[in-house]
Amino acid sequence: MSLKIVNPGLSTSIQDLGRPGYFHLGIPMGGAMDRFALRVGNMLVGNPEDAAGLEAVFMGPEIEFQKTAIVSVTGADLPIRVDGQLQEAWTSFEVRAGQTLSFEFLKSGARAYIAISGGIQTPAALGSRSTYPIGALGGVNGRAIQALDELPLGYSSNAIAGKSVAPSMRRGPGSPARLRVLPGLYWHRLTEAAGNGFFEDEWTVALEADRMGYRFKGGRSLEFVDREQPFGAGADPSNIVDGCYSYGSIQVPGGAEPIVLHRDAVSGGGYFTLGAVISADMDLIGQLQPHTSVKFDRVDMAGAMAARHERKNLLMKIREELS
Amino acid sequence: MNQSLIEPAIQPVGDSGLMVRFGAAVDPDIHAQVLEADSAISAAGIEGVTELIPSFAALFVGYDPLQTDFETVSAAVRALGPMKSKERTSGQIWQVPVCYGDGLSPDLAEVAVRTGLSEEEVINAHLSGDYLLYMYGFAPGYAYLGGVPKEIQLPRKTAPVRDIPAGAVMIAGPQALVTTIKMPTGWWIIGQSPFQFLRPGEDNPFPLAVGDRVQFTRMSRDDFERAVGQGAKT
Repeated sequence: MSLKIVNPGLSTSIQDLGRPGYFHLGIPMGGAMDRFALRVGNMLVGNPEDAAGLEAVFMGPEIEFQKTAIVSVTGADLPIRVDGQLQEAWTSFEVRAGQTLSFEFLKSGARAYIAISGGIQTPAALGSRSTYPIGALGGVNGRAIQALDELPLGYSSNAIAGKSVAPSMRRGPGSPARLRVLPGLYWHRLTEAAGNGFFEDEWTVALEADRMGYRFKGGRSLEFVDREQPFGAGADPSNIVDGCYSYGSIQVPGGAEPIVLHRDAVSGGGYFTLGAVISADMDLIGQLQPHTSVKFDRVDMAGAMAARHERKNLLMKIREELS
Repeated sequence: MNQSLIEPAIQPVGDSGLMVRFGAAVDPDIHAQVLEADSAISAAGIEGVTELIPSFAALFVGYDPLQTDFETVSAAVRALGPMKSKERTSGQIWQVPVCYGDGLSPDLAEVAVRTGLSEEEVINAHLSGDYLLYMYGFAPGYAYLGGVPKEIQLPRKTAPVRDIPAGAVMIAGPQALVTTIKMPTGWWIIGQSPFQFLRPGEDNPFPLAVGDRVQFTRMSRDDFERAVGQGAKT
């Protein structure tokens, strides 16, 4: 074993880039909420971008290294210490056997990603080490990490300390955070005033914000156009005949508060979705703390695709600089 | 060509998926078109398509937006033409035992009151249904069955109840389901089954396929306790 968990923090889980391909059976893709941060973290320590690392929410863990490794911390700003010595974020550094990695209080963002050279080598389930506690898949016996857990590390020969990503290439949410939305399948079910209000109003992240979904509150309640419910659908105007949801879909149970479905979201159900947050902005949601202000910006398909390509190009640029 | 077949509606879902919609109701013929589209799109091997997810009346097609786009994928789907309802001969039939009774059927009395039937009549109606597995959704292994007889179709409860354990046999409208893990639900719980729709650790954790059929059978309390004691999968 190579890493000994002294203190797990608040909720720290093993995550890689997830397990696509099982959504039709009710198993979500899962994986890092902020995939950009995990990818870049892995690049910094010479790992494949899909290697498993740790996702720490709001609070960092305390980890004793039993083997010397190169480490990086990306994503949320959680000041890093190795045996008390401060380290740079978004920069690779060495932790020697016997040293302890720990963190100070969160400064900004919500989730920090700890990538370790060689990657965490816990057993994969359905092709991924990502922790999905609801289905008891991945992680450590299907759960988040606990004190005294010992995590195996893989072998690595190409990791070096001192690699860094320029601040201009690091990504984090602005203030207010802006999330771009493509109106979708059931947008026409909203009244015009409700549709406009959705984009005009400032929302805040509710306390119900986790890997399954982020709830937003504070905007105007969403009103629906009257219609007859189809046979088989629930009685609430926000009910539909049960259908598939996709990542980023925005559902509004009861019409009150929108919920953006995230990595561990269920694959289907009986609420309608008014649109979807574009894929390029899903990582930002993973960095939102409760009470953060958020504005939704309307985009069209061309805008969403441009954002997606911009993201791809940024990753390529970082890849080139670090190789 | 069957005149009742209409071109499905294709709409974007975010920037990495589209929905092919065949209707808006729980209906075996509509669902047969969904499954036909599922196999046709799968066989067509459209570049960049990553995921196909059938539901009651629609098929979700997920794609990688860096490899392809909405226009390309929707044109390729449209080129496959309207979907015929395939004869459903391949689906396997599963017998799923249910125990109705004290402590296992928390909503049975309420369902009886709301439908104007006796509890025994509710049970018999539930057992008489011919159930089709339409989709997986909501949670791992949650197999959405359609085919609840009209006389016991009720709207969902107005507020969900938390922490419903695995094995609960539930109904809501035309739908039925046996829970696999502890989750909240607004459906009506009328019995308990030892049958496991989700079998983690097995080569195929999902023994039932979309398009399979389910027949519920009645199980005595003794047999139920024995089956649960033996960690039944049946």
